Amino acid sequence: MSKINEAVRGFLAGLCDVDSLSDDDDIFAGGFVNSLYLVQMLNFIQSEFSIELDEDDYDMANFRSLNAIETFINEKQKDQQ
Amino acid sequence: MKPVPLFWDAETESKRLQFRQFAQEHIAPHAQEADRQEHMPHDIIAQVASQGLLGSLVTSEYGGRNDDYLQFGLLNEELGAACSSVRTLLTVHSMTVQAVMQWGTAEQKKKYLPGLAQGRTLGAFALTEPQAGSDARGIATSAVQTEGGWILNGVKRWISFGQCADLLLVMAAVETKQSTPANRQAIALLFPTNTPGFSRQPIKGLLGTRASMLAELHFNDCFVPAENVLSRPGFGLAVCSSALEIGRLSVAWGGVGIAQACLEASAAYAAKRRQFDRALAEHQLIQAKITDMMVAVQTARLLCVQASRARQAGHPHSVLDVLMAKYHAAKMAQQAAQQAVQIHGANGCSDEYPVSRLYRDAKTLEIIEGTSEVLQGLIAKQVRMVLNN
Repeated sequence: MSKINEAVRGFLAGLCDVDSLSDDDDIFAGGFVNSLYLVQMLNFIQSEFSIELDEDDYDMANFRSLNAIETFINEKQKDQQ
Repeated sequence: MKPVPLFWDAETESKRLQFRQFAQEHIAPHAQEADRQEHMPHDIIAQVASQGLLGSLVTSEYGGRNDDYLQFGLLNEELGAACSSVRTLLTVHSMTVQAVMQWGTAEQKKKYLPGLAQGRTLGAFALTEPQAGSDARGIATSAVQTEGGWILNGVKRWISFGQCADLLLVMAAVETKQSTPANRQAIALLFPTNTPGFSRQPIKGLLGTRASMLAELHFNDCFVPAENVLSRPGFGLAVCSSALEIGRLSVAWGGVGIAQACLEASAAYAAKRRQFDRALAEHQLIQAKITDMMVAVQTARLLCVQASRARQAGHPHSVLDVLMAKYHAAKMAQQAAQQAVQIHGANGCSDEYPVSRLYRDAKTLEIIEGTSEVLQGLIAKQVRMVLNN
């Protein structure tokens, strides 16, 4: 498990049951994350991985699953280096 | 004597003193009359705007004050101590500002923020409906996609400053042929109130914050251009949630302001009023009430400082810190106001003394931007996050 995956799982564990969550599961459709907590997750991603989100990043495809979040963070970190 | 170290720096203290002076000189003297008339005079709004206070959270590139969240909080405390209805204006206006700042496109920011910062454009938040309040997912106002934008239909109720807002942050449910009540997505729209098909009806006879210009809003086939949609599909509730976070932070600080005003009024009254050949302040039961108020105000203020700092840092726990600050400050303000009325005796039941207004205003804080019961539920759901970290 990558450090990003581990950190995001750790965060989600505070909001929902992550034991049955696979890396490709849709965390919203699966009811793992209520969209009201999306803001909290965005705050977490920004502060934990030192990235700044801009308007183009607000695309559900970037946050739909653990794998999508990891890909997005990796790409964002490369862009901001 | 050296002053006690503050919870904030000298620059912030200087701003707080300016906020206090302005609020006490220009807002407080009109609060009772605005409450009686259930109307916020245009002159008061103009004075708040002329000080740039409505642009507290707007960055300087758009003509705002660029206050941090602690300074914004202190502004809410001082306005709240003077007049909760004026604080409400700042609350709903800032919710709109925050939504544009966080979720708006470059074009939306350029178009709306300068006017919002200067108060030429008054913003308000339109979420609540006759059948949907705290449950944002239950909204019935519909948005149907059409060529170049959206058609909006529905009714919003209990909208603070809905009577005079120029720009609304409206939450609606996207309606398609495939949508059902269970799968409808929320959408956040910036809605200019000069749009054809829009009308508003004042709501009178309120318990508290009576000069908040509440209205029922009607949207009848209102066309909203596509460029007025905030953020992307799927983020509607996130826009709503982040606006509510600012609203709750504002209300929490406003509660501290109400309680501080109750404390000051009660201490002054108790020092002056004599019963049984002694000032009220010399009676131990009155001293106990004033002590409880002092401690309660300061503990709520500390929670608000924590919430503002967490929010400023962009910490994920800020959501929880704001929820706790709002829940506690609203409850504390209500208790402080109750004690203030008690200390004032029969005078506390008269509108010649401000504590009766503060009492009514404090009660509304336990209802607006999430009832205390809804907040208890939301806080409880976050307990695992606190324990995990």
